[in-house]
Amino acid sequence: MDFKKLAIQVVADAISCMVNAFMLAVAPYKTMRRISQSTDFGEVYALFVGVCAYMYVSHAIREYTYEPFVLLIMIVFHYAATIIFFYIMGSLFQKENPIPFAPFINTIAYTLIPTLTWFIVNTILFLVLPPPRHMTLLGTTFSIVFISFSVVMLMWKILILYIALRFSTRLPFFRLFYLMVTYIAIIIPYSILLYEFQFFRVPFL
Amino acid sequence: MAQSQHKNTSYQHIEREFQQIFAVKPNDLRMPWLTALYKWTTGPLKRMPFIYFVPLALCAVLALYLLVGPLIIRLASILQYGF
Repeated sequence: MDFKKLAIQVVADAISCMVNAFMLAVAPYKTMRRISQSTDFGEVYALFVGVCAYMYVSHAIREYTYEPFVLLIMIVFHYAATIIFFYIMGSLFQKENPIPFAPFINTIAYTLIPTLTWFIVNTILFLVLPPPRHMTLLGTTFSIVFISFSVVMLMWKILILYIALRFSTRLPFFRLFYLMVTYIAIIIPYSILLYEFQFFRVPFL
Repeated sequence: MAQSQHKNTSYQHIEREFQQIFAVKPNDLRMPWLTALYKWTTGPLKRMPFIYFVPLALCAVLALYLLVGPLIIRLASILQYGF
């Protein structure tokens, strides 16, 4: 009976996670507001199960330097570090009203959706149209479309991260802007470090 | 009795919606024109942001292609190896 309940809960969390991911594309503001008020963290597990599955599948397609489990630990570490960073920095900026910690857990997890989408699409394209690209009409067209897709995913990521921080910290625009610039300033050397140690070519952030 | 209960539920639903909407104070960038610009820019992104992202990204990449040409193709190859 307990196992049945657990199974239903797991399936419900997975479906809820997929619906939220889709809704973040359709109505990001309203969806992120709802996510920030949720106290159910089962969706975070569902999301990381998805990331884990992706890591193992892509490792089978193109072998990584490290085991997928090591990479997954790196992603979880980065996720936890991001939450702690934004919580501490947000609390420093918002001394009048203490910031609750719980909203960060869900909102920051959902900022991984554009990253995961980009990685999944990139893996599929790697199989369908393996690189390198050439200076032909088709090669040029594909390059333009692919880079446009990458830029769109980056824009979506920035938008979702901004909304996630807005609802988690409740800070005004300029303070959030400083917070995000500080975060990017830390992320750039961190990404170079990940590349140097051959963890990720493009960081899974 | 049932009608009154229905009204009560609707009221609670509306109250909850309002609480959600006003959970975060609206942004005030201290300069009215800047606040207006912020609202004008961010307002449309609250629903279906891809309608704006896709043409914007396509135009930016086409402009980049006209500027740097073949480097775009190299960048695409590097990104494709990036996963």
